[in-house]
This record gives sequence, structure tokens and C-alpha cells, in this order.
Amino acid sequence: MITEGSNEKEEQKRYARVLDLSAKTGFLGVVLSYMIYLFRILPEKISSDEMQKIWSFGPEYYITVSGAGRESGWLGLVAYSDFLLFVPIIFLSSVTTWCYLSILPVFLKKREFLFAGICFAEILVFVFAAFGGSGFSAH
Amino acid sequence: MPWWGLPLLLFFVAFFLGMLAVLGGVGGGVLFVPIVSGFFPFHFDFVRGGGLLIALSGALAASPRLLSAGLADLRLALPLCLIASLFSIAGAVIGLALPTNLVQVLLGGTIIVVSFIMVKTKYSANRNRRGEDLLGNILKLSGIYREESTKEQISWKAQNTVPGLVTFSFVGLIAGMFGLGAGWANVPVLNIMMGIPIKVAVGTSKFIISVTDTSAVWVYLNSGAIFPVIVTPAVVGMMLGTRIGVNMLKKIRPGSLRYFVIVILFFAGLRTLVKGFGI
Repeated sequence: MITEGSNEKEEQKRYARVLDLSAKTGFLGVVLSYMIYLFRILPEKISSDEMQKIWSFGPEYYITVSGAGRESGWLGLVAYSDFLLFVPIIFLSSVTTWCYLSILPVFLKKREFLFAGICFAEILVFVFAAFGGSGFSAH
Repeated sequence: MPWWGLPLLLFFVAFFLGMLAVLGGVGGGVLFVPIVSGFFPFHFDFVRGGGLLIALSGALAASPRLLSAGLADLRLALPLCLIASLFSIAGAVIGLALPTNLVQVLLGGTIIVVSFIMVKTKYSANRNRRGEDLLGNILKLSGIYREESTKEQISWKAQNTVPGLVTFSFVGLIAGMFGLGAGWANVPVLNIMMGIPIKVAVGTSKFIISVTDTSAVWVYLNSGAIFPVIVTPAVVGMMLGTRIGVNMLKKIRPGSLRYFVIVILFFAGLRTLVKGFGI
């Protein structure tokens, strides 16, 4: 267990708690959504034949065939089981952001402004990565 | 073959790689990307996106326990993560923009170098270095952890923080470009360069991967380079294989399969290199 004073590692304990709960929720979502896809509980947008072409031809073909577009285009297709799979993936990709948001107040409360600044800068990096999509494109 | 044939095969391959990764002391991503890109018909961009998600998932699963046990240090990781995650975005953008064949050649070469690094690298359980590290002192990068095998409290203090930060920028770049977790690079930097005890270095490395790969994964998501139909069975397979591997680790001597894994890595790198040249 963490052996330094409990106050000194408060942010570490909080991060671990938030991460544990979020990660388990995300993994459960991954398994459930794949079961929905596998057993065709919801219809799929892309047929099995087309899917086998997509996984060889790559992202540009995927975007064209699905009609999803880049970035958050998949949101409009969530009623289809093959795009519902994105929901837990996005959730897992967001977990670290929630963890950082949970420890930022701890650093501010302890007046550790340097670490609060590092934390805030990292959150900005995540936001840039998530929403700076218009600048990224597959070849 | 029915449509679910290859995803099912991928599940079993990822399961096996998950076990092997734990027993060989490597990350799942560094095995997954070269092996799957070398032997499966999936587009290289999808494989790299899958590799990142696998590494991320493994790190998210392991980090809570590592943080709670003091085997991963949050304060040590935060500044390193900031640099690495920034450069992982750059790496991902560059990697997706370059021609696929070129990236495969670069990845194959990198994996071959990684296999040599793994042979040559000698880790140290506890590195008590002398000398002051100004940035490390300012950030108070130090800690204590309890070594279960000897029941003693081991204190540590980071050294060479600035060179460590610079090196992590390259590590982040490679992780984003090739879809790897880069634990094979994090651990030597933390242990050998920064003087962190090996157990804390391994634990903190795993945690750093959860942050670095988060940034890079978003680039792949926004570019359409994540294909959930194949990523999901790979993630689940790797997670289950890792669990079994951890249980087996209690009975098998740690690192006993290390050289076996290094050989597989070398040939997977060679295969990726050859494929990049169109052979």
C-alpha cells in the first residue's frame, strides 16, 4: 500500500479509485456491445461481405462505405450494432481525462500550483487530441 | 471462411500474446502490431489503432492496483506523461500521413532494434545515485515503496529529470507513430537514466502508457483508423490472456520466457520490414 502520509498521496489514491471504477465500466461496455453485435440484437450498418473488404482497404474506404465521415460522424449511426461498438471505445479513451479532472482540485486545494498546471495542461492536450480532428486525416 | 473467422482467430492470437507478454516481461502492443500486421490481412492503420487500444486497455486495467500499491508514482509520471502525450499526437499524425509501406519498414526496423535493446539492457533493482537533480527536487520526484520479497521500505529519488523528459518526447513520438505502448522504452529510461527502482519503473511505465496512448488513440479515432469489429475481440483476448499470464507468473520464474519472446519479436520485426518492402 502507499506508505507515505495519507495527505501526501491523496491525489494518487483518488486517481486510482476513479480509474478503477471507470475502467471496469468501460470493459463491461466493450463486452456487452460486442455481444449485441455478434448476436445481431441490433441491425448492422455494414454487411459482413463489405466488412471484409473494409478491414483490408483501410480507413478511407471505411469512411466512404459507412457514410460516417470523420471525427464524431459515427454518433449518428449508434443505432446500428457495428457503430454502437464505438461507444465503449470512446468511453475508455476518455477515462484518463476524467481521472485528471478528479485530481486537479486536490492539487489546487493543496496549493501545489505547479502540478495543478501540469494537470491542466494535460487535460488541454486530451481536448486537443479529441477535438482537433479536423487537422488529422488518414492517407 | 465465415466473416467471424478472422476476428475469432485474432481473439485467440491476442489471448496467446497477452499470456506471452506477461511471462516475457513485455507489453502487449509491441508484440501485437508487428505480428498481426505481418500475418493478418488487416490494413496497417487498423492494426496500429488496435495496438494502441490494446496497450491502453492493459494499462487502464493494471494502473489502479499499481497506484494503490505505490508501484506506480503519479507525481513522477505527470510531467513525463505531458511531454510524451504531446509527442504521441505528433507521432500519430505523422504515422498516418506517411505512406503505409514506409511506416512498415520503419516499424520493422524499430522492432528489430527493440529486440536487441531487450537483450542488452540490464536493469537494476535499486539504483542509489548520487548528485542533485534540480528539477527533480523542485517537483519533489521521490517516494517510498514496500518491497514485498524482503519486507523493507525502499526510498528512491529521481535523477536526470531533464534528460528523462527529452527522451520521453521521442518515446511518445514512436508510440503514436507505430501504435505501441512503448513500455520497452519507458522502463530503461526510468530505471537506467532516472535511477528509479525497477519495480516502480515498471509500474510507472504501465501508468504512463495509459496517458500517452489516450492522446494518440484520439488521432486514430478521428481519422477512421479504429475498426471496432476487429479491435474489440483483440482487446478482450489480450485482457483475458494477460490475466491468465499473471496467474501463471506466480508459478513460473519471472522472465523465463524472455528470450523466447525476444526471438519472436525479432522475427515479427523482420516480417514487418520485409512486408514493407513489398516482398
